[in-house]
Amino acid sequence: MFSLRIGLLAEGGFPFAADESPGWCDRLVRGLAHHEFDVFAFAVDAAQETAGLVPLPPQVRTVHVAPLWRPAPGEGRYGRADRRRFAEHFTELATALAVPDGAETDGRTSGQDRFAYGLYGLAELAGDAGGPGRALRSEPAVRILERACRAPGAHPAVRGARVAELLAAAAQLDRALRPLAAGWYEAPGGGPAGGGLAGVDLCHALSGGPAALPGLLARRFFGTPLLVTEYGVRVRRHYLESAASAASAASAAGTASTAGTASTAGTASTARTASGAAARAGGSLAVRALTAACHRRLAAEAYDKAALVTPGNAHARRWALRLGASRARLRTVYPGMDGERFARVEEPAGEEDMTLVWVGRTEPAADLVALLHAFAEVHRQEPAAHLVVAETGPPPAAHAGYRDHCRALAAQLFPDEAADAHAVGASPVSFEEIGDPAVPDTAAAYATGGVAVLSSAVAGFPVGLVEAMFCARATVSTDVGAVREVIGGTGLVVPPRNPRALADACLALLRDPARRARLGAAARARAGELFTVEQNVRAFREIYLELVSRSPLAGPADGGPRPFARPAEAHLPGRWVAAGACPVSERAGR
Amino acid sequence: MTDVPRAAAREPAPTTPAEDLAEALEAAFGPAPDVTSLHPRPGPPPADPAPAASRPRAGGGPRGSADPVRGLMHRHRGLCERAVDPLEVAAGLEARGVTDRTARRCRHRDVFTLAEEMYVRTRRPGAGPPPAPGGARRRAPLAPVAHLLPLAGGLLVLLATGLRGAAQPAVTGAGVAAVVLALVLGLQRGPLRVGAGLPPGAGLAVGWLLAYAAYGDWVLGELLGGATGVTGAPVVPRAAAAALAGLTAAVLPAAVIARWFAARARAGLRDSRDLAEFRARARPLLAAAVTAVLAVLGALQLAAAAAGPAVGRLADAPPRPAVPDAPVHASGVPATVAAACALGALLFLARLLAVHGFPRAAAYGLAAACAAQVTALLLVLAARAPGLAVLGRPVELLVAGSAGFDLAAVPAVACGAAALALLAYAGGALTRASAHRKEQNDMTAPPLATPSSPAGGPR
Repeated sequence: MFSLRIGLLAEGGFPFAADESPGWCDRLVRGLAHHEFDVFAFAVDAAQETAGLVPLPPQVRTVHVAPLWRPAPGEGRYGRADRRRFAEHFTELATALAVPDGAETDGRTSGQDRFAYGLYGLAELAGDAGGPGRALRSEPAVRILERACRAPGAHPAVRGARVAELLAAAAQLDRALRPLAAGWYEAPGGGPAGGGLAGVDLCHALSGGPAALPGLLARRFFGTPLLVTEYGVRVRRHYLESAASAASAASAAGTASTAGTASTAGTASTARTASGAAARAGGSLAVRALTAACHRRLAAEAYDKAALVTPGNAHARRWALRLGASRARLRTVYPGMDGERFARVEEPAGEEDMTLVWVGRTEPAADLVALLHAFAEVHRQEPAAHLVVAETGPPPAAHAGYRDHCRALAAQLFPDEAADAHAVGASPVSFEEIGDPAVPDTAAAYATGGVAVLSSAVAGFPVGLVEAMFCARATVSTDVGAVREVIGGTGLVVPPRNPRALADACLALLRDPARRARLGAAARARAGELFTVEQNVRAFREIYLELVSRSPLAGPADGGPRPFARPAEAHLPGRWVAAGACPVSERAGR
Repeated sequence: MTDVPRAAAREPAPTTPAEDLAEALEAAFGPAPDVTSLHPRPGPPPADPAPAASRPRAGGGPRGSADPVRGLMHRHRGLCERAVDPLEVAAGLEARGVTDRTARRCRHRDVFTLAEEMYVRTRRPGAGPPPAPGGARRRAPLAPVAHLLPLAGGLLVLLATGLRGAAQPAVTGAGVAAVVLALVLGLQRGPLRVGAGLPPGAGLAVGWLLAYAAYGDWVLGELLGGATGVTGAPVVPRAAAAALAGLTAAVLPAAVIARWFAARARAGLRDSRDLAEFRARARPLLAAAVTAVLAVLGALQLAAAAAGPAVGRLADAPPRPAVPDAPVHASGVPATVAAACALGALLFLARLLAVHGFPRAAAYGLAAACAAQVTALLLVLAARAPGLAVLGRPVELLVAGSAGFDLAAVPAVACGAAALALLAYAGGALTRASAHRKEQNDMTAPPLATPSSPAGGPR
């Protein structure tokens, strides 16, 4: 087993201690102990930079951190020639961002080509003369952006961009292009091997978007193959954040105007109007259009140039396909989850176990209300049924009221019941918090019930569902996100926002213990095969070898044997393919 | 058309060994029911048709609508109107629980094509209306007390002119130091606050300029008078001290004017359609700001020239009640006022440039004025060497050349020239849109995207 040097490219998250848990990247690094890892991480806020890193295993040789939230210190002042280069390449980039997707800019080159030309040009400039941040904040950059927005064929949303919007867009582009100034791209001869990305055999971007940008540059400068793993779709998250900022801007503008008419002068109203002003510039259509175009083009470039893209589920795969990834270079690798924690949960024993269990966070996306309504129906038909609602953590601050709403609804729907006139009553719905002595962890929560229910209206990758599968629980889930793909045939799937169908499915399982046991066993087997850490690590081990075998290893020859230094075909004597033995190519040549 | 049985719309999931196991188990333990659909198959009649009929269609439109997309568009109209491209609509739809199943009901292959149709069909206002101006403007907080601190130092210098002996230079020095310190500390807040990037030499340059305003005339006079040594204690003429006090009093009005300029420029950013228009708006603003500062300086200087001697006399020591208020080399009032106005304008322009992101230009301007003053002194000094008398001629001509302009002509010319140079530079620099980015960013920086998890994925 020989050792590779893998460059892990991250944006926030993995190596930073400020994040709540190390995640799959940490398990991947620990699982591939025979490789060496260099971590190249972007800190997206001050907290990540100050909180330090998670404890890393020894196979992580170096960790390079560059901030995205503030200008890099190495930004230089450009000379005249550099300014000209900057103007040329930024013009290409800005033009590509201003034209709508799919439109030809001048009849020959597509917007994507111009974007790539501008991007790599700026990257080379950054390598020669320092990062372009200062130039991007200068007047010529704003002027170039203005010209691109006014050019014929520009997107209607950016055509009328005002000066304030142009400035805000230039600031956003400055932030988006900060990876260019990270200083990891010195040529191999520039320093000791292993200084930056030059000494790396393979770049593995842990998400698309900005994290993949160093990989793209390493591919261009050093020919390093790039692997992009897309678990949460980065560009999709950008769109959601952008839409949320626009929505908050709209609502803030509303509150500002009402506050103005009501003339409630005071610190509260000034604070609100200030935040409204802040949201307005960031949430303006033109700024969001330019920023979104930058993210979209960057994602498309990464999908196009990556040697392999590994989406985490079919949903991420569809986004990658939509953004131009080729089917041949897409390979779904399911994220690995720690199944050991759930191995000790025995299969549901009681034939008469009439308990449903729901595990998750109480937020509107989880659609707990639908679950309560469904359970009302279940309870009407099967009075012995119970529902355990186990919360994995405090609700997000934005939805703090939702939990109280749900509890009030439960109290209203299900009055306390007692077996007879002398017993103490209890509600058939019990709310638990994971971490309490009764339910110390998620596994214990699943162990309390025979059937796990997932009622969410929106989901990406349903982690809770996989946990339930590890616990050998039969599941009823809503058909959202990657649920159908995860569950396969080992559970029941109902449409979202359909309490009646949910109730029917729950009843069907509650009344049929044998079927419940069969589905539970099948679910555990499926999860153990598809969603374990081992399969994830194994998949990446093989992918690493495959990618490296296709591209000669870089780095200095230190006398030792260098695997894959020459492709295996090079050892075949003579012509690899006899003339005339390939009728297809002959026909094509004609 | 919307009543396609749900089971028919499902795609078979790829078979895995686990599913094979499931099938084997189902086969072993009993007849395999349809595990993915609980709804009645098309064969038997629905048991309870009424609720099913009253349920809203997932497509959004009324039952049997020929255009189910219209209903979806209506339900998600905010999303469609704000979207910048079809992918944003697709992301938003997915986040709201619209799946490929819904898309298929709308006769689309997937959510992406559905989003494309919704994006194209949405009528959205062309260019966004200009953001509402008015009360929603946050003004930089003014710190009046901090901006009045330098005045205390100025008054100290003015009061020191009444003292005699060693106390006078000590108090004067303390006053000048207090002014510099108050300027450095007091301007950490308010509209004249400078971010990073101001060279440390700039503070020294300001100190030199202020010290020259106090003692420069005396030094120059001694040098010109051919003194071979220190003939007397250094003297600060009352007029110079009053001018210095007038200058320090101008800090607060200058801050108000700077804030007005920044606020109007920001408003210009919002209202301008393009960069040329902004430049056309900003030029008169800058001219007005500089004119206002000059007017304030002039008024304050005239007031100081009138009231300064009276204030200074308050501190006169009793034993020498009638000291003639004219040392050996005195400056005329117009020259002193002009010098103080030039210095004030220079300091204001330098500060304004530094505030708006040109700290190096500001430092160069201050340093140039300092260099000119030092050169004048050195030239006069060098002229004493035999045969080098010609070196002192320019300064002598300047000092003695025009009526009414005497020793103060040197700082007036030095600071005035530097101020003019800075004004010329500011005319180009401060009328750029990017010069007003700093406050723009402070005020309206959009919340930076913070990924919530490493790859947004599961752990």
